[in-house]
Amino acid sequence: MPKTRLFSYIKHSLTLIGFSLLCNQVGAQSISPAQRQEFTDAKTEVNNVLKGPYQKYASSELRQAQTSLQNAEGANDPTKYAQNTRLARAQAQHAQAVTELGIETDRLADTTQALAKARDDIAQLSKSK
Amino acid sequence: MKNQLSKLLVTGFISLFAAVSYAQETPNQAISVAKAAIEQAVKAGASKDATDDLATANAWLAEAEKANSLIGAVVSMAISDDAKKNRADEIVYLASMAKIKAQTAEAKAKKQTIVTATQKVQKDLDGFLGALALAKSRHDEINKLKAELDKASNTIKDLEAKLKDMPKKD
Repeated sequence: MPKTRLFSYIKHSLTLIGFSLLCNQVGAQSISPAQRQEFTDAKTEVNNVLKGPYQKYASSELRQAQTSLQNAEGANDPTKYAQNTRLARAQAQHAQAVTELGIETDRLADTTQALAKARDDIAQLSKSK
Repeated sequence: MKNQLSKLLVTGFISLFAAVSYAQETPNQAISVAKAAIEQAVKAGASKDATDDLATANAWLAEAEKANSLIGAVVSMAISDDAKKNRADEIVYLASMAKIKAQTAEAKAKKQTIVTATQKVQKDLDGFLGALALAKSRHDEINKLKAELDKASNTIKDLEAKLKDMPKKD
């Protein structure tokens, strides 16, 4: 009688262990809705950079972001999926910052050039008097 | 024999160097690169102009260093090769995030410096353009006056010539 009990106890324990392992496995291998949302946000961020003049200023940064997005899309492991998603988003934000820096650098160059021209014009006017 | 041995050694070193160069970034290398990027961002003025991004970069770096700590290294000795690789990948990822955030902070800080410089140059330019407009209008005025003066002197010359031609009365 105790032998049967012990046998039943082992059987139930094994079933529970097996079930918990299965749950763990399923949980570990599925990408959560929150992670998918994060991926969508990263994609939006990359698309926002694509709308601007990134080609002139941050093409390599944006390429890195696109590669990370592709890596995330191809990842089955949720950890890799999340890591590549975050990398893509950070790289897109970097590309955006580099683009804005490039635009402002060009603006400074244009303004400096206009200032030099105005100085020349004034000097010429003074001479012609 | 000695010559052959030295040749073999040189070849071996070159191969080893090439292998190391092409190998994936190690956690320590990734952390060093991230630290350098943070220093660069601070030099560019990120502590003042890109505080949020710099703080995020420091937070990612702290995570990377924590994962790469001595205790972590001791723990990794007891785990499988796959687990070791995953741990190294995780540290490289954390350090990469720190680096990208630091580079973003640097770009934002540089942008702010450039915007300030542009504003200063624009102010100078506005002043010069105002002066130029004034100088041009004075120049035009002077030219107009000169033309009027030329016209008047011509009229005087004509009148003088007519006076000369007129018959004198006794």
